[in-house]
Amino acid sequence: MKKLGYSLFAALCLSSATLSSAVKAETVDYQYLTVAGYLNFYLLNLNACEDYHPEIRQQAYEAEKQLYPWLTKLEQKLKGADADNKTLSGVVQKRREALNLQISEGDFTLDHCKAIVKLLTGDGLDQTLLKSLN
Amino acid sequence: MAITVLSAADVPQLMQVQQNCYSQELVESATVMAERISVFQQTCWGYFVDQQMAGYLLAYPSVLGSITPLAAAFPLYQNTNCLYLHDMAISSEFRGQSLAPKLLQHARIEAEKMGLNTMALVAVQGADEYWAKQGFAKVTDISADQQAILDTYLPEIACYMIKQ
Repeated sequence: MKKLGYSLFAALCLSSATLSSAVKAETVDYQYLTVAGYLNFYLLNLNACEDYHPEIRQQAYEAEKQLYPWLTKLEQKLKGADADNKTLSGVVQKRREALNLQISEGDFTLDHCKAIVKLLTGDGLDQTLLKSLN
Repeated sequence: MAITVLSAADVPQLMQVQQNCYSQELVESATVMAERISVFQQTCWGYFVDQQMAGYLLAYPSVLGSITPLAAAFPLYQNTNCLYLHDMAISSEFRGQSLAPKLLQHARIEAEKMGLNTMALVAVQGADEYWAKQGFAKVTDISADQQAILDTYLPEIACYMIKQ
């Protein structure tokens, strides 16, 4: 983890070359699972924004287009990887559950959707995270 | 002053705190942060002073002894029994006000409400001394599998620490 300006969680500064061989295969799968959770989070949220908040539907559609090339790449990678399907389903399911809870509690607001769309269109997808798909 | 759970709308402020605290190569992107705090909203907190975010703590429910590999997503566990601290940052202008211990204390109280009676983390770059002062102790008897995961943090010296 990171702490107070120090790199306690040094995730982003280390290359895969530094990983020990004993866990490398597992880590590759973790990378795909991480990307799967990430992309599906945005897909689920944008779809829900389109359904629940028509004011922002068009912007959500536009933002959603960013996801599809990466979702296609991910699907291809997962076909050749050892990623556990059950684990993968769990990652997506957790995001679906979080979204459903947010909706049921009335927290899936227009402001939330605006924030999600703005982050995607402004900051864009994390290219470092998506590097594993190239 | 208030400690509240974070939402996607807080991400721009969170990014300012993160950028204030970390070198550029360690800054995680806004879209990654938004995903984490939305999916694990109950365990991601911000410390606000006059509506300005002074600091944050991102954590998730975990299982004692389970170490998260470097750069992996926040994992999902069944039968969770500890709160795994992923990232805590206090903006420089608010340092020296003991906000970090207050955030930690808040996390501990909320964790206990969730039945999570232990907090855990991986300390790197010599931060174990800081965490020891916060009451965390190094765990040395970890399994070979978990040690292999801890080794993904190489070349950093990383250690798994818990606070009961």
